[in-house]
Amino acid sequence: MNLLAANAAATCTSKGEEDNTTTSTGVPDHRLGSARSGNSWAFRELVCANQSVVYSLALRILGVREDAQELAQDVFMLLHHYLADVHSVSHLRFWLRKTTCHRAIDRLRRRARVAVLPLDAVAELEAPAEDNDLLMDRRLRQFIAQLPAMPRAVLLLRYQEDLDPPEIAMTLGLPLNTVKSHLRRSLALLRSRCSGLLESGTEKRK
Amino acid sequence: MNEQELAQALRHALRRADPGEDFSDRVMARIYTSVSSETEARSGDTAVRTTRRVGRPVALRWGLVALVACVMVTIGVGHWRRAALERQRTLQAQTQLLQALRITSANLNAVRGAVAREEEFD
Amino acid sequence: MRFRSILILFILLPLAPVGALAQSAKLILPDLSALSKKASESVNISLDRSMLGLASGMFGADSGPKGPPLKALLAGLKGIYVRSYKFNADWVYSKADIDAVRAQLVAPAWVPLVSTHNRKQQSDVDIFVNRKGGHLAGMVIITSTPRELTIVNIVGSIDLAKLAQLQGRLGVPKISVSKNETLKSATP
Repeated sequence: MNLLAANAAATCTSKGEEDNTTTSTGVPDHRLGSARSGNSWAFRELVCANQSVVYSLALRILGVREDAQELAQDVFMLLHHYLADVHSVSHLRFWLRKTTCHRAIDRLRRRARVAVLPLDAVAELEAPAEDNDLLMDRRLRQFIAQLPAMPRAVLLLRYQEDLDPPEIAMTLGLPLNTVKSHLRRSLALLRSRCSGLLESGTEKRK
Repeated sequence: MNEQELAQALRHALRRADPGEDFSDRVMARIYTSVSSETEARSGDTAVRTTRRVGRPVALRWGLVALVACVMVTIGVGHWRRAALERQRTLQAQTQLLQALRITSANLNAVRGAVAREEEFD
Repeated sequence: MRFRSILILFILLPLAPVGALAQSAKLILPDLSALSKKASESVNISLDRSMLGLASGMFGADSGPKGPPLKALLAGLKGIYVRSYKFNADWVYSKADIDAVRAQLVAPAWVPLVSTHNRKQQSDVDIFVNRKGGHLAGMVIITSTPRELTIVNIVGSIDLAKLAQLQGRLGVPKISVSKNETLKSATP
């Protein structure tokens, strides 16, 4: 009986949002204003509403859970410091994505080698997947983890955060054509490396 | 697999992960620790001192101005420091309270589970 | 069914009237700093009345919809003390570590409410309540497993119905107080 981890489904939530893994627009503007005025409770709600965005980006770029935890905390520490400069909820999301990606890429590049995402670590953190998708999910994540830093970040912003190419370009400070090129090449590489798996996944879904 | 199906598969594989239920507690704990450090650093600041030599009446006037300024800055710094410490204590209390409630609930859940299992055998 | 009755008992018991009653409900927790050095995770929380007042002052209407229920929950509390340790190996702590706490619970004011023992998992959970004149003045929860030890001492009263209202929010795990609980089938 794991007492301290009882009911592992409990997470902090913001108004109208029960599942932190779904896409959300964060907290209302008045909560942001309250946090900027120094209300620590409101700031905590900002953290709760955005922690999965920041953490997931960090985790999938860095590939190591502990590093991702540390980096995610660093990002929110920075947010606390620069909160007065954030003027809207959409700006907040943009800033968080941008800062997380840049810091994670910097840290990744400082490493001697590119870390392969530990499959077990990711599996226990993700929402439960159906058995017939589990293998495909793992292989896709493994493939993404082996990409160089910038194409990896582009793919994550596209398919994890649902940003379109112009938004990705602005977030990462890249030319639009570079973003499109990264997407095109990464997807082509994915198809060539995982063709058998993708086809069997298609058949199962049908 | 067509483009749409591939995109769907990627979105499914890249569902967001949660850092854990106590993540926000850890962030807030780091924040109040850093606020505490800043408070300690700034409390070492001393009032402004004027050391320039001037003529006696002018020196007296400027000396009085400097004295008043020192007093006001000291009062201001003291007030700011007290407010910062208060914020820090409040943040700490809030974080610990939520953690205590979380642990209490978790343990009561465990009791509920244990009693439920016992009732099955009644 | 039994647990629901216990919860109803908690809900119906009124608040402790005076601070003097609350004082006896506060345990003298032993110094377990040696355990925290051996633990992979440890929690040490001591929130007396002034700290609770400080924390609850944040939970006004400005805190959003969760603020008022939390403030109501804290209204009856006069202190909450938690010592919790998690270890990487079995039985790093000894029964003697808990004995100093249990020795205080033999006083007449302390009434054992729930005592569960799981032989297979070697886990024990005990809940004691401090009752004076029919009023609830405090509560102690002691949970021990081979790799975890948790002691929670609540001074004053805590309304479990109100705690249940915070289900799933604020990182507070859900306590089910529903009528129709489905029990899992026992493993043979």
